[in-house]
Amino acid sequence: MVCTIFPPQVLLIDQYTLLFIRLSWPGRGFKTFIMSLPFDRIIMYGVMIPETIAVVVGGLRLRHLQAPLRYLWILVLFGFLTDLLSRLLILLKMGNLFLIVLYIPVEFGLLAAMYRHELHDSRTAKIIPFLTAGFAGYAFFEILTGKLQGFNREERFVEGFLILFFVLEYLYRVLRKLNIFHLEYAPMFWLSAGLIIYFPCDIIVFTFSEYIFSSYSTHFNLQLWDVHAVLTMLLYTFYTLTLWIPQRN
Amino acid sequence: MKYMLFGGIMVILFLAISVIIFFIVYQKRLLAQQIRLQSVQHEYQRELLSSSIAAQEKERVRIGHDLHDEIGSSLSTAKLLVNQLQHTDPEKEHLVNSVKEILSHTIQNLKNISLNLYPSVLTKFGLVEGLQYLVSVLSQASPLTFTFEADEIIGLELQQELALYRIVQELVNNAIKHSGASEVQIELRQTEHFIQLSVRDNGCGFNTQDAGKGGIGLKSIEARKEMLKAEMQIASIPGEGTCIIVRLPVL
Amino acid sequence: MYYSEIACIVSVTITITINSFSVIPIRLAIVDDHKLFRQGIINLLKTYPQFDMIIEAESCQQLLDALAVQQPDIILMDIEMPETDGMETCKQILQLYPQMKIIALSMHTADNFIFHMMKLGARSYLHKDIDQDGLREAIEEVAAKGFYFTAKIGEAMLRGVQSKSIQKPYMNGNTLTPREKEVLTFICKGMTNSEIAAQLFISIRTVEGHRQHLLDKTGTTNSVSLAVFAIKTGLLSADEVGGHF
Repeated sequence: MVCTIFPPQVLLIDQYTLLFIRLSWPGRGFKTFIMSLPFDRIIMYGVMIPETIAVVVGGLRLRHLQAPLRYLWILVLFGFLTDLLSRLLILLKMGNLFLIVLYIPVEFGLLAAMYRHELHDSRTAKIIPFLTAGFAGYAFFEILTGKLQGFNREERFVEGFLILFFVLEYLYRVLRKLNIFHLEYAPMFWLSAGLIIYFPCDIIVFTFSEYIFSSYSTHFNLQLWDVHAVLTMLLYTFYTLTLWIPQRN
Repeated sequence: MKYMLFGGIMVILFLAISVIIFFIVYQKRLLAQQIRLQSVQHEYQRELLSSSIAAQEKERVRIGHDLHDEIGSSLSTAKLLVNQLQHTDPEKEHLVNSVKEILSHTIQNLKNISLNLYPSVLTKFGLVEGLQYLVSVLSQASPLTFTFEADEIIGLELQQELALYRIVQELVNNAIKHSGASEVQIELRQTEHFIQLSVRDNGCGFNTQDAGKGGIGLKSIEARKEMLKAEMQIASIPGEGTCIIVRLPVL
Repeated sequence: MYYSEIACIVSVTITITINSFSVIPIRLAIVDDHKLFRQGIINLLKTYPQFDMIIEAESCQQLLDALAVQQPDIILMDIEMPETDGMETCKQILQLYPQMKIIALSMHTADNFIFHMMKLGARSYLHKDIDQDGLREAIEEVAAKGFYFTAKIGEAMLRGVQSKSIQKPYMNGNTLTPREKEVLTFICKGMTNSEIAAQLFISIRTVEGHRQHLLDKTGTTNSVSLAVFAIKTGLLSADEVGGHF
C-alpha cells in the first residue's frame, strides 16, 4: 500500500506530475526523459510490480493453498486493489486518505487470522478475534465521526506492535516444538520473516512522517515514503515466496 | 536529523534481518541436537531392553537346566529305589505302584516345564534343531498337525537364536490356545539380507485392529522384536487363518 | 599213594573248571555329578552279582585319574556335567582308551543328543528314567555284543544319518565352539574385526564378543598369545599362522 497522502501532499504529487509532464515535453529526447525520471518515481511505480507478481502467483496456486495462506492471498489482492485505487484517486485529484482507515483493519484482520490458525491453542489466539473487532470498530467509529482525513499514526503503531507480537510468539513456538524439519519449506516462516522486517521500519516511517513533514522539507518526507515503498516491495516479495512454497512438513 | 532517521531505519532493518538469520541457524542447531538426543535415547532403550531380556533368559536357563537335571535326576533315582521296594513287600504293592506313577507323572511334567524354560537342544545344537525338537514334542502333545521347514541358519548369536525361539514359542502357544486351528506351519528361511520366520495357522483368525489387547504374550514378542531390530507383519482373515511373519536383517 | 595225587589233580581240575564256568563280573564305572543319582545306581547295581562297580567319579577329571589306575569294561556316563560335559569326556576317553565301552545316561531325550553321543562313539544311550531291568539288560548286552540299541536310538540314528545338515553340538568345557574356532583362525591370520565380520557375514559386535570369549576361554590377553595358544593346542599349524605376527 502506498501513496497515503496528506492533503498538502496532493499538491506535491501535482508538482511531480507537472514535473513529469514538463519533462515529457516534445523537444527533449526520449533518452533525456528516461534519465531525468526521478528515482522516487521509479520506486513508486515499481511497487506495483511485486504486488502484481504476488497476486498472480497466489492466484495460480490458489487450489493448493490451505487455510492460513488463503487469507494471505485475499490480503495481497486487497492490498493490490487498494494501491490501484489510491493511484487512481491521485490521478483524479481526489483525497485517498480514507483508504488507510479501511486498509488497516483488513490488513490486521487477515494477518491476525493467519496467526490465529498457527497459534491455535494459545491465549493469544483466543483474544485475536476481539482485537480484530476492536480495529474494525475503531474504523467504523472513524467513519462515523468523519475523521477520515486524519492520519492514523497511532493505529498503525498499535497494529504493527500487535502483529510483531504474533510473529514473535510464532517464532518462539517453532523453537519450542522443534517439529519443523526444513524451515525453508514452512510458508509461515517466510511470512513472519517478511513481517518482522517490514513492520518495525514501517512504524518508524509512519511515526516520524508527520513530524518530518511539519518540521522539515517535504522532499525529506517524500524520501521517507520512498523507504516505505521499498519496504512494501520487500514485503510483497516475501508474500510471493510464502504463496509460492509448497506447504509440506 | 535526516541522516539520523535513515540511519535508524537502516539499523532496525539490519537488526530484523539478523534476527531472522539467527533464528534460522539456531533452530537448525536445536533440531540437530534434539535428533541426536533422541537417537541416543533410543539406542539406550534398546540396550536396556536387550540386557533385561538377556538377564531373563539367563534366569530361565538356569532354572530350567537345574530343574531338568538336578530335580529330574533325583526323581529318577527315587523311582529306581522305589522299584527296588516293589519286590520286597507284596502287600504294599499298590502303594508302591501309586508312588511310582506319581513319580513318572512328575518327571514328565518336569520335562514339559523345563522344555518351556530351557531349550537344551537349541543351546547345544542351534536354532533349527531346537525348533525341530520343539515341533516334534508339540506334535506328540497336542492334536494339531505341525510342519516345520527351515534352511540352515548362520550368523546369529545365541541370544538372538533364543529370542527367535521364544517368539516362535509364544506365537505357537497363541495359535494352540486361541485360534482353534488344526494345522500350524512354521517356516524359517535365510536370504542374503535377512532371516525370515513365518508362523501360519488355519484357525479362526482375528481382527488386526483388536491386536492391541494381546496381553503379556504379545508384549514379550514386541520386546524381543525390538531387541532383534526385526519387523513383524501380521495378516489375519477372520475365519480363515493367521499368518505372522518376523523378519530380521542379517549383517 | 596214587590216590592222593589223583585227588590233587581232580580237585585242581574241578577248581579250574568251576572257575572257568563262573561268571566274571563286568567291571563298571560311573561318572555323574549328581551324588544322589550316582549312589542310587551304585546301590541298585550292587544287587546284581554279575556287576562290579570299581570306579565312582564325579567329574571328567576324577574319571581320568581313576582310569589311569585301572580300567573298567563299561563306563556309565552322564551327559550334562559342569566344566566338561559328557560329550567332551566321551571324546577324550575314547582317544586315550579306544576300546572303552561307554553307555550314555541322560535326562535328555532329544534325537540330536542321542545321535551325537552315538556318533562320538557311545555304545548305547539310556534315559535316566529307566527301570532296573532295562539298565541291567543294557549293560549285559553292551558287555556281550558291544552295543545296545532301543527303538528310540534307532529312530534318532535314522534321522541323524538322513538329515542334510549335521549340526555339530556346542560342547562346553575346554573346547571352543565352531564359530569361535573360525574367528580364531581369522584372528591368527591377522584380519581385523571388520574383515572377519565381512567374511563370516556377522556383525562387528559379534566378532568382538567372540574375541572376548576366546581370550577368556584360553586365558590369554592379546592376539599374539591367542596365536601361540592355537599352535600349541594344535588348532592351527604353524605355517597357517606364521608370517602375520
